[in-house]
Amino acid sequence: MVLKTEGVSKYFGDLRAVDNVDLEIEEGEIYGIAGPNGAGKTTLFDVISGLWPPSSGKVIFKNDIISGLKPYQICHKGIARTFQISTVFATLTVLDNIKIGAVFGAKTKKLDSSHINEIIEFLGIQNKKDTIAQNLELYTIKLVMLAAALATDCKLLLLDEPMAGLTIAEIDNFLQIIRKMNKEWGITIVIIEHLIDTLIDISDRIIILDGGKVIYKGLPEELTKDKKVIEVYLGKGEE
Amino acid sequence: MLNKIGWKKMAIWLSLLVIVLYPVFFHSNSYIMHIFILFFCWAVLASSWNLLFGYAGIWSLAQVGVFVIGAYSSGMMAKFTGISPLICIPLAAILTALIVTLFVGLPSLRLKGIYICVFSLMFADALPSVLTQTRKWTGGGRGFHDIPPLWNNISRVHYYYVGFAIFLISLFIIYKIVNSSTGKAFIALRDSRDFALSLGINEYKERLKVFALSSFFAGLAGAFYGHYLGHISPSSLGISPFLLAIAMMEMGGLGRFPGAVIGAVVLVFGSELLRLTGMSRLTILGAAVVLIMLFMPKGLMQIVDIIDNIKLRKNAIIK
Amino acid sequence: MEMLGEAMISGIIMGSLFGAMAVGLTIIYGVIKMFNFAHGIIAILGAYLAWWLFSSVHLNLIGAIAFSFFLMLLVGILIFTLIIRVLLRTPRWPYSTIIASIGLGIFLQNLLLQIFGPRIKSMPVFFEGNIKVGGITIGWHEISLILIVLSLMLILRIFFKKTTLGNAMRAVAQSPEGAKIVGINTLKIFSYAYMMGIAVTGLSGVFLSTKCYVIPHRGWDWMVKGFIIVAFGGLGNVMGAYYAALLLGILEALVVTYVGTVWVWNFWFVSFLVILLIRPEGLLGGRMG
Repeated sequence: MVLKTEGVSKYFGDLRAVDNVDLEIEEGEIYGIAGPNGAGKTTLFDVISGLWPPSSGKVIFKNDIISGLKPYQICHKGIARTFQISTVFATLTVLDNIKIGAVFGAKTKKLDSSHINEIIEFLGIQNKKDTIAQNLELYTIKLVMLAAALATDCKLLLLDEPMAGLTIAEIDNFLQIIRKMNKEWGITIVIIEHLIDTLIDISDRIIILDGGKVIYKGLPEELTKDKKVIEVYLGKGEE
Repeated sequence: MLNKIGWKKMAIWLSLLVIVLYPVFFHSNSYIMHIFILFFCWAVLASSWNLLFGYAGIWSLAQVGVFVIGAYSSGMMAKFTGISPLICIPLAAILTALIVTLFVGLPSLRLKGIYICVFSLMFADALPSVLTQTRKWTGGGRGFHDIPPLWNNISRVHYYYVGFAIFLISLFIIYKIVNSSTGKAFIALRDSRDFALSLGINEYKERLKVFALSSFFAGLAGAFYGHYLGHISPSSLGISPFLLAIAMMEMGGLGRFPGAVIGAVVLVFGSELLRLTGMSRLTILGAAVVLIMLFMPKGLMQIVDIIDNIKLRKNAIIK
Repeated sequence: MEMLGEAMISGIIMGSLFGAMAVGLTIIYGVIKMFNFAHGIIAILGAYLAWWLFSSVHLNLIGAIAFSFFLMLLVGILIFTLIIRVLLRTPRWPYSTIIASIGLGIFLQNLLLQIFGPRIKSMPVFFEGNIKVGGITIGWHEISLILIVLSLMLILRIFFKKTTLGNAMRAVAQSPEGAKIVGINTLKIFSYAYMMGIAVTGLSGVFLSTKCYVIPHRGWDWMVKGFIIVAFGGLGNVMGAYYAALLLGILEALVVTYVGTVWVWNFWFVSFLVILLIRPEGLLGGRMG
């Protein structure tokens, strides 16, 4: 088991953004998370990556309790993430964006430029290397965000709606990238995705969150048969 | 690309040459030499502020206070212990960095954006009252006088060259910092804090670092300034120097490298010209700060960008 | 005992006056999320306008104050349209508004100095005479000031709770995006809030000028005090600013009476530090209302 959460909750005042969530994520799998808006998916990522400490419960990564650690410590343990809103360092070049991940994210603190080049080639952004990030278009921004996260030498990657706003062709590319990262680089991936078909397509296992609670946990194939899921999630029409 | 570096480098070397040679030709005109020495101090102060405000995006408004702390601590050290000012100046800069990191940097770790503004402003505003209460040693409101000169029988030309050396070394180190991974981390935290944190940047460490570095250089410039003038008083904490430094930083271009220096050139020499207009100096400066923000938000560095673009376009046509 | 009583009274008076000033700041911050670094000089400007209307144009006291209030509304809309609105459209507005308003404040300060000269100005008191309660002397003027500020606060409270515009302002304060979705013109609300903040601040300057002398460079100190009060009360919290001002006013008066005037500034600094470190969101939280 790579990552485990035990009864993790996060309250903002009276709002239970994440409510008693238990997860066990196995090494090497692609783990999908879905749920309606405001279900607490992003907050769960924020708790795991340390941006918010959990109000209660434990997050365990490779037998170490990581809840309560600072974000940079959690990153050094080997967890990286991307954000739903496309955030890059707007005034830095693409290469510098990736270097930040490599210099500060990896435990060794030594700049391994061959690794960076490998990532850049893998994602196909060689010719954008010296572009200032604020001049990039959405798809490349997402790739840069991913590249910086990969540069940290992560074992577990949390992807927060990485394909929102992309065209169909771009989504196909992105799915391939995710599979490759998973298969060839051995990175365990947790992915939040709004498009349920895409998620079923790519994930080994899926959980559905609603109102901060886990309402479904299991294989993607059985998801569409689950009554509760249909009721609170799929039943609301196409999303 | 080569072209771009070419004209910039040329401009820099040319201006450095002019500054180096200036006293050789105009030895007699000590007024202009004085203005140059002031320019060295201001340029370092504004650049150090730019490091904190422009690069790291920490809206501290206390930098002129930091400068004055440097001046007082070096002056007092030299006067009361008799140690050579040449040793006192770097020691004072370190002391300043310690004081500021402790009293502004540490508390501000808990604060966000606008609160740092207010907090640092209060820190700077509390300094005159601290000076008044310690008037036995600091001279209080009348100021601290008889700060020993760098060495006996020093002439203005020597101050000119020492100031020039401090200016060059500080600027060089700041340039190195800005382009190092530490500098990139400051920018990363400013551009997108959450992303920076998730990529393994230790926010507290980097923020303390930038406070320490920026106040070291401001303190260094202040210490030199105190020895040069021979006295320092709380009036240096007034509105006028504060506005001047803000305007330099802004006019040059926030978060751009030689920006603050360019701002300092324009404002030090410009404000000497403005002196002719008497009382309206601050009115004009205040209005200028507003107008620059409105019409030239990237400061004078915008002109550099425009020239760069023209060059690039030219290249494209030739190709 | 009398000393304590007098200290309390003077604390309440100064607290009320600074409360009125800080409210302008908190309205502007609450709605637009920008700090008005020209705040102190705006209060001074209000005082100068009223003083000029009273002593040079020879309006009566109420007329002068009312007309200066009207002029301050115009000043507010002018600054907003020419400067703030332009800057808010840029992504760098959080700090470009800070720098621009510092520049604006110093511009206005020196403009006032050039027009009116460096001599101290002050408004006449509203009511002569005083009463004695249990050995403590209170002027009628002071009592009227406390009541005026109190009613000003009540009016603002009703405005934010009951009127459409007030509700719209609160909506924008809580979530500009949400307000936009329900069809509120946020830019318009920003401009109203800015105007209101400036006008209330100008009014507070008029009141302040009846209690203490006014020269342009005092504005800076006033503003910093205003910041601390606002931080105490919770950014954007109107009533919070008023209560915080009363509390700090009384504490300051106690410091002056029992410790010494030189320590006043240190007192403000330390209280600010304490509140920031213990409760960064202010004593009363950060909600509009």
